[in-house]
Amino acid sequence: MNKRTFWGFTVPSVAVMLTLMVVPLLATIWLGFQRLTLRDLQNPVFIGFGNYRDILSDPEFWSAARWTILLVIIVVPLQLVLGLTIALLLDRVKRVRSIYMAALLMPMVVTPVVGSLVYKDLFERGGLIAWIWESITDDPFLVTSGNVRWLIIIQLVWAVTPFAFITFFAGLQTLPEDRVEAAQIDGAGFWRQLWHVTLPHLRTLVLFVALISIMDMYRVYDQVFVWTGNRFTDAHTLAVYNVRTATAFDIGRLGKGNAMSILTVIGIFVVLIPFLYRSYKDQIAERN
Amino acid sequence: MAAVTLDRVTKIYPNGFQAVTDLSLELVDGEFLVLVGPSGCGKSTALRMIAGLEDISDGELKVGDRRVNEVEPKDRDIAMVFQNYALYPQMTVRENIAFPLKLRKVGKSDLHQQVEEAAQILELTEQLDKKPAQLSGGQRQRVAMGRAIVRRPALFLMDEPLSNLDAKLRVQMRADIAGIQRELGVTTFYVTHDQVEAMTMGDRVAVIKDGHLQQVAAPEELYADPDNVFVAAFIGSPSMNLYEGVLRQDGTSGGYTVQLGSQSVAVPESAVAARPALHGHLGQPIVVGIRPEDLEDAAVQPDHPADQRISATVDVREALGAETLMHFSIDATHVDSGDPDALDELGDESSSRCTARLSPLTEARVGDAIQININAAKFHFFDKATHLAIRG
Repeated sequence: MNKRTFWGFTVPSVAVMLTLMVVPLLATIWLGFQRLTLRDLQNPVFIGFGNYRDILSDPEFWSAARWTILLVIIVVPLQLVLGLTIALLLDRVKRVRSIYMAALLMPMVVTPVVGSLVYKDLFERGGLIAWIWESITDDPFLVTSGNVRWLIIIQLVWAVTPFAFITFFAGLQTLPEDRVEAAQIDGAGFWRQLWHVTLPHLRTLVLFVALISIMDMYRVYDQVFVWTGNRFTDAHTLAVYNVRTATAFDIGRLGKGNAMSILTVIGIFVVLIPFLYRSYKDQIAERN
Repeated sequence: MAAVTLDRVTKIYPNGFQAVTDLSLELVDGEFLVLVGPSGCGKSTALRMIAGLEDISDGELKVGDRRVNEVEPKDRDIAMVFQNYALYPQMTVRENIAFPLKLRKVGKSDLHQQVEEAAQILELTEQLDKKPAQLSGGQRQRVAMGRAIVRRPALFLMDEPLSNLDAKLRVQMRADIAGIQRELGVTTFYVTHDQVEAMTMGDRVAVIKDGHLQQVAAPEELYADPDNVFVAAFIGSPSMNLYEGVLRQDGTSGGYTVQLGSQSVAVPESAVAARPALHGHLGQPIVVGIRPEDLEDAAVQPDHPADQRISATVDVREALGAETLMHFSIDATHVDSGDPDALDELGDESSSRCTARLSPLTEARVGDAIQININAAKFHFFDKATHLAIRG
C-alpha cells in the first residue's frame, strides 16, 4: 500500500483514539498522584501514592468494593440466565414478536434515573407494592439499610436483563437450523440441545454480555444513588463512593477521585483478564 | 421385507401449499433409493417427513412394520446427513461421531470401538482429534456420514449431501458414499436435484415434480424408457430434444415417417411395432423425443440410411474432447417439459434448439449447413395432451 494512503486512513482514527482515550488516561494517572481541590485548581501538589493510601485505608472504600463485587456476583449470572430464558421463549413465539420485543426492551430504553425513580415510587408510601405489602402485613413498607440492597439488586437485574436478552435473541437467529435438527435426530432432548448446540453457539455472546455487565456493575451509579442518596452509605457502590469522594465537602478532592478511577480500572482488569485471555486463546485456535 | 414404506404420504402446509401429494414408495431392505427432482419439487419435504422434522399431513409412514408417523425423530431408528454437514463445531471429530452413541448411553469401550470403526471406514482416523473448522469440505461431509453410520440405523437419510462440494470432490464423494452404503448394506434414501448423482448412485431412482411422483425405476430403465415428457427431459444431460411431430404411414409402401417441422424422418417399422398404441396417434400431433447421442454428423457416419437424416445449420459448437456438442435450430415446435430449472429455450417461435452429441471427428463449424443422422429406432413418443409415453 502507498504510504500516503496508509496514513490517510489511519491518522484520523488514531488521532481520535489518542485525544479521547490515551490523553485522558494519562492525565488521570498523573492527577492521581497530585493533591488537587476545586478551590485551588491552579496548584496541584505532587504527593506520590498519598491518594491511594487514603483510599485504601478508608473503610467506606472497602465496603463499597465488597458491595460492588457482590453485585457482580449476583446480578450478572441472574441477568445471563434470565436473558437467555426470555430469548429462548421469544424465539418460540412466531407471531406478534415485535410487541413482546418492544415491551421487553423497555428497561433499556428508559433513562436509568427515571426508571429508578419510577421503581422507587412503587415502594414509597402510596406506591403499588408498598400498598400491597401494607394490606398483607398491616405494616407500612419501609426502605431500610437491610432491604435496600435487595431492592437495588432487583432493579439492576430489571435494568440490565434486556441487554442480555436482545443479544442472545439475535444470536439465536443465526443458529443453523440443521444443527438443531441433527441433534434432534441424534437423540438430544431439550436440555442436551441447549447444552450441546445452543449454548456453544451463543458462547462468545455470553462472554461478551458478561464482560460488558461486569464493567457496568463497576460503573453503577444512578440506580444506587436514587435508592440511597446520602443515606444507607453501606449500600454505596464504587462509582457512588468515587463521586462522593471527588465532590466531598464542596472542596472536591479531584486527585483522590482520579486515583479512585485508576483503582477501578485495575479492579475491572483483574476480573476481566481470565476472560480476555480465554477469548484471545479462542481466536488463536480459530485462526489455526 | 420393505425397510421403509411411504403410503400416500402428503404434506400440506398451514398456508395451504401442498408440497407433497400422495407419495407412495417402498424401499427394499439394503436399497439405495434416490429421490430426484428440480428445486421446489417437494423432495426435501418428503425426506424431512421421513426424518420426523416435518409432520405428515396425510398418509402413513412405516419403518419396518412399525407406523412411525407420530414417533419422535430420535426414536425412528434413522440417521440423517445434511447438506451443510450440521456438525457440532465445538466438538472434535471423535466427539461428533460419538455424540449419538453417547446420548444412547452406549458403554465407553463399545463407544470407542464403534467410533474407531466408523473412522476407519471413512478414512478419518487421522482427523479424529481435530475440530470441524480444521477440516476440508469433503472431510466434514465424511464426519457427518460417520455420525450417521456409527448408529447402525435402519435407514440413512441424505439431503443433498454433495451440493456444497466442488465438482471434482463431488465425483469422488459420489463413488465413496455409494461404496460405503453398499459395504454397510443400510437402506438409504438420498435426495438430490442432480440427475447425474441420481443415475450414478441409486439402485433405483424416483423422479418427483411439484410434489407428485413421476416414475420409479432403475437408472438404465429410467433413461431408456421414461414414463413421461418430464422424466425424459430431466434425466440425461444434455436433455432429450423434444418437439411436436406427426407420425404418418405411407399409403403405398406402408413405411412410417415422423414429420418434424418442414423435415421428415423415416421411422423403422420395428420401432412402431414395439408400441402398438402409436397406431391410434397416426396423423395427429404427438411429442417426439430424441436424445443428443442418437444424433450424428452424416459426414462422420456416411452409411446411415439417407431417409433418417435432417439438415441444419450449426449455431454453437462445444468441443469437449471425447465428444463434441453441437447446437442447431430446427423449425419444429419445441415442447416444454415443465422443468422449472431448465434454461429457457433459445430460438424464435418458428424454430427450436436442438442439441446433438457428435463424434469428435466432426469437422462442422459454427455456421456450417450440415446433415444430421438420426437413429430413428431410438425415437421416444409421448401423448401431446397427457405427456405420457406412448407404448402400447
